[in-house]
Amino acid sequence: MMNGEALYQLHLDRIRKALACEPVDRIPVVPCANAYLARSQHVVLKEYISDFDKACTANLAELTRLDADGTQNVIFSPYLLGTQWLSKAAIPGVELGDDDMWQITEAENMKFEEYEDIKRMGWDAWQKKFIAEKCNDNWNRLEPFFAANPKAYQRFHEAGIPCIADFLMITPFEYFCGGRSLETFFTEDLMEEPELMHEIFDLVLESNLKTYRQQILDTHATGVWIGGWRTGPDLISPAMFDEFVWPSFKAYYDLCIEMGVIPTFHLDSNWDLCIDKFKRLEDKTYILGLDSKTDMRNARKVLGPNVCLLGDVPCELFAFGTPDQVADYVTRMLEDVGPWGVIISSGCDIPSDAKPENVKAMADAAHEFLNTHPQK
Amino acid sequence: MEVLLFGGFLGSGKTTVINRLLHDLTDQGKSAAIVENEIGTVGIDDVLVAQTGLKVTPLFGGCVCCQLTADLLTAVHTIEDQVNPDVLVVEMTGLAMMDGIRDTFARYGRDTLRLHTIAVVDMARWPKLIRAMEPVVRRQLAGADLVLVNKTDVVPADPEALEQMSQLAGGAPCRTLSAQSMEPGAVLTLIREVLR
Repeated sequence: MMNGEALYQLHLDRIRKALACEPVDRIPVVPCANAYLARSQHVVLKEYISDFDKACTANLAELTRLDADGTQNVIFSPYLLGTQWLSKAAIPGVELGDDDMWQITEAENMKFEEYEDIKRMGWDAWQKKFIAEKCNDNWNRLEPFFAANPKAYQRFHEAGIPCIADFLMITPFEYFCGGRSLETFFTEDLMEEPELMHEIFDLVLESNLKTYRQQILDTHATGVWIGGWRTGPDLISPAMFDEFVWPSFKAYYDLCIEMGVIPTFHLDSNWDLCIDKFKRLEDKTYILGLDSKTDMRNARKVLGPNVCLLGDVPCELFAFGTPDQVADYVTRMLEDVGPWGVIISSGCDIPSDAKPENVKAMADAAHEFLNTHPQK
Repeated sequence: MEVLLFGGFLGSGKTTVINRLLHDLTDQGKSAAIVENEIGTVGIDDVLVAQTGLKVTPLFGGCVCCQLTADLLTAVHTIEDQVNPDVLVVEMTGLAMMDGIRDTFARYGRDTLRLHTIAVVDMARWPKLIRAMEPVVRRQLAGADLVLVNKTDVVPADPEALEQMSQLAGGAPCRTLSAQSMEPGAVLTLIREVLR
């Protein structure tokens, strides 16, 4: 039997080949999940987000059962969500019942006048103060999570499971779309004060690039997520995407390439109208993570065979479908967009109420594909 | 079980509309339950909840909408099994896309569910909304069976805006109201007239 280090290298090599759109010995499966992993191992969410040893054990148990080739996170804290959207998060066992799903509170948490404070104080200092005062002191509450990360990573390494998203790169758009609330941010800020927004975005981006550069070094990152949650064409026009989002995407991508880190664009909702924008990036250098709302077949057609696509089993199929339906979905997807340059995963997070037999069916169908569809 | 799903932005007044509707339903002796997906400044009427034993189920979600529709349908099925009210009212976050939810219900929902989708729009903010965020407004209205144009006491309804809303909602009817000041029974009557 292969030891942990050898298995880790085998898995990572397989993922890198998929990234480079080269032939692989089996289609890699790299799930994205947290609450599902807890529930599959009967861990209450309150414990899952506070006892990180237990969370890590649960994650490893389920990912091992799936024979996963990698993961998109090692352990998780919902306080991270509050920091990325400058919002309060309602937490299981605190504001919520012990096993209730965490929730971002959609509210106007930040006042317009605070943009001036950002200019005066600088992004880092302002962000720390704001999160301490207005976001339930999330950074302090995250300390146990950050402290637990090195051990969790070590355990994953020993189990042979690489993580391809060691941390998140957040665009300025995401922070303020959350903090100011969606509607206010669009109608009051972007439309009425576009020049101020550009000024603030530039300031945040410059600061984040320094922070992320250091974070890559500190964590020896393999890969990162570049998040596209509220920046897709379901929410903004392609022209606004180019004006307010693309500069951050490109700058984060360039940093990843310079530092040898795998960038995964984690794209929630329907990105069909903006998929062509990614042709601006170099082939075989990034992963496009789609959540089933974007047409993955169209993405392949638009981007060609040399871009790695990750996805995209729909959440609803995990929760309400059958193993045969899931297997059929994966097989058809691989027939249409694969087999090379594809990593099979859920579309975004596996939902907390997914049936474990359906998640296993996803992994098995991907792993079996080259046996049933031998390539010349 | 009848499911009335309300969407609309934070501040559009959908919680006020829902509170009126819940009063109307209980006044008529109908049993109701509610799934709440948005934590806003205006909450579901505590007094009504205490008096009627109204079942309120929070629906939580991590990020935008990826897990939400699966979790929503699970919650709806559970309520049908455990409570089976005459009407289940669902209050969705402004980030929820009606057409996606309709699709999930059609594919995976039980035959016993009768889903109606209602978008609540703030008349006073419509011009800004459509100018600033046309894609999301379009997606929100795309799957609506009925558009309730709220706060017409603040700003009179503009016929051109109503026509535009109806077009974006695929021809769905638009009805104007001021939820704050409506007579008892009026919200339910309005909805019933359209969603027979």
